[in-house]
Amino acid sequence: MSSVALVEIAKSFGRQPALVGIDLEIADGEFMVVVGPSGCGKSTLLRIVAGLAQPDRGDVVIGGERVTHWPPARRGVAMVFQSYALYPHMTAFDNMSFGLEQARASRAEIDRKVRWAADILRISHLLERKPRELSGGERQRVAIGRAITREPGVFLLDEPLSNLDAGLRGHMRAELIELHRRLKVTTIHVTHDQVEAMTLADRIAVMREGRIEQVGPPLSLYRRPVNRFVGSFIGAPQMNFIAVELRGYADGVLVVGLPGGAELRMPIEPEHRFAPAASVEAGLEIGVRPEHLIASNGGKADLAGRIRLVEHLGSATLLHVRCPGIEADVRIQLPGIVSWQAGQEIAIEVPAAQCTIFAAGVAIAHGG
Amino acid sequence: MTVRWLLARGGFLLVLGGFLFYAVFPFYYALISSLESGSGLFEPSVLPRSATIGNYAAVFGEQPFARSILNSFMVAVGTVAATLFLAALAAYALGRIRFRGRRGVLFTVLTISMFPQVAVLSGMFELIRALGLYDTLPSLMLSYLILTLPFSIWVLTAFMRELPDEIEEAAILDGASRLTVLTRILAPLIAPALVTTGLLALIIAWNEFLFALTFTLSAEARTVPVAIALISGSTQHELPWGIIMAASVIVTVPLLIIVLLFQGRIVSGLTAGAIKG
Ligand SMILES: Nc1ncnc2c1ncn2[C@@H]1O[C@H](COP(=O)(O)OP(=O)(O)O)[C@@H](O)[C@H]1O
Ligand SMILES: [Mg+2]
Repeated sequence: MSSVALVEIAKSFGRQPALVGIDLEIADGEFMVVVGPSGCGKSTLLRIVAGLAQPDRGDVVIGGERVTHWPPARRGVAMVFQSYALYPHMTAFDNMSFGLEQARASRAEIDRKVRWAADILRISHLLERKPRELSGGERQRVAIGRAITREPGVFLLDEPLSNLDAGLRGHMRAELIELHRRLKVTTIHVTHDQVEAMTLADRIAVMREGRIEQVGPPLSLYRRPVNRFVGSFIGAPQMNFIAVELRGYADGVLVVGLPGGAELRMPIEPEHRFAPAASVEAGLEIGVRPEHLIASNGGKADLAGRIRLVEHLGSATLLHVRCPGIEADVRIQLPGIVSWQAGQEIAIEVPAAQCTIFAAGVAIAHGG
Repeated sequence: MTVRWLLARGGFLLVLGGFLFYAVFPFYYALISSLESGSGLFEPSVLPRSATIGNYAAVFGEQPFARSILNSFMVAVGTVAATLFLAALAAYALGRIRFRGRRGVLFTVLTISMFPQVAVLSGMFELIRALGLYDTLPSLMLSYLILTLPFSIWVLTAFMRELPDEIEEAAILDGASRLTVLTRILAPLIAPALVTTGLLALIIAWNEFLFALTFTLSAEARTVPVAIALISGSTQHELPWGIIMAASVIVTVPLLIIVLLFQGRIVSGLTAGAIKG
């Protein structure tokens, strides 16, 4: 078992930069999820940790050793590829034993370890099958099994669940958590699915265009995104963004006006306090999550509008509300089934304690 | 089920029949002729009138034909083994490793296959003499590589390229060396292509005449095509067609059997690659 540190990793393909100065530390036994949209460089990052690609700059440190130029096999890492990349001509058993065989383990040891992994993953009855005789979920397990039989110090997973259907994905998520609890192997799990990130991670690193935007525990990213991108990427349904105007700024407290005229007062984060009000005004927005907006019954009404669409999710209901002065629909998520209907007028309360204020895309104030 | 359909169907069968006749009849005629004796040969017929194995006995009686068959067999097997080994190594490099000049190498290989055999004959002769291989079987194996390697390398390179990178990377992470990756992972995945190119190389090596005639002298090193060409009659004016035909049948049949045995693999070799592992 090993910690992993990435130090100023940069990598370009031709003139196209894929990674731009990545710094990331993963503690021994931690489950780190790297999340970001397709093409942001997640796979490239993982391949550099594995040693399948060389960074142009920077270092990879595993278990305290600088392994940047070590061959993959020596690094003690195992990887589960997005396509699983099982050896098509070998049985599940041979797929799982191949690495041990290369390490010249004894026949008895190979047998013991493969059966141990198969037992954990509940694929003992599938060991004699070839990959083409397995379902998607079963192939997935064999691929994970192949990775854990070698008892790696670091476990790398490249979008391992993205090829599974929704039901199976939820199931495998739970199994991955269970597996990690059991084996306590340092894990870097890459995904574009923020739900996967939220449910699996000890900590999440959000990536965009070759950079890490924010690193932290899931709920801290959910509550206190450092910028608009993280705010919109983490959490579903997506955060609402509402352009606001600056009304006042004194003693570190910002007063902003919503399009309807209502005002919100929020203390600015200490590190942004030096920002003069004039520059803060550039593209001022509040971000608020649909589940935090309140349908106001005669109470405080910060926004008002007409319901355009009602989405019944069963456990919750999502209202799309057209508000004068706001470009996109404001989305409100209410618990359970509600009687609101499209076409009705609705008043909305915006709790300042749940809002984030962004200036030119950067978070400068958090209500919570 | 219209007239048009019947016409199309009939036309297709006609073309197929014509093609089959064109491909198979010469062999059939050789078979018939080999069973005739004496002057029966020169009165063409579709069915054999007499069936004697006299010609077959004569093939082995008048010269060390068994020795020639053994030579051909050894040369063919040696050529195929060397071809597959070298072509697989080359294809791994050319198909899966990025390096400067890769295209150049591929096109050079292709160019080699464009030279007519006679053009390389004298140079090859010098080479073989210099290596002290004249009148030995290895001289043939070496020279046949010129004929078999170019297309083998091209076909195998194309197949290697088709294989997903991640399978190879998984093996590298599993600690496999390049050679292990090639022998344990990649080669089994392109097995149909190996069988196909191996068979083509086998056919070439088995039938080759010009090099075999030039680079061997004694009966000890002679291969079948040369041996057949050297079959002569009792007088200068007599060509012993019956014996020649018998010899041809003897050397064609094993090839036919092998090709039919591997037929399934060849077809999958020519269409594979479209299917993802
Ligand atoms: N081998 C490669 N050659 C050229 N460009 C590449 C290569 N691998 C990745 N890229 C580019 O680098 C960027 C990041 O790719 P990748 O790491 O695969 O993203 P992700 O896994 O987040 O979807 C993309 O723009 C992609 O086109
Ligand atoms: Mg990827």
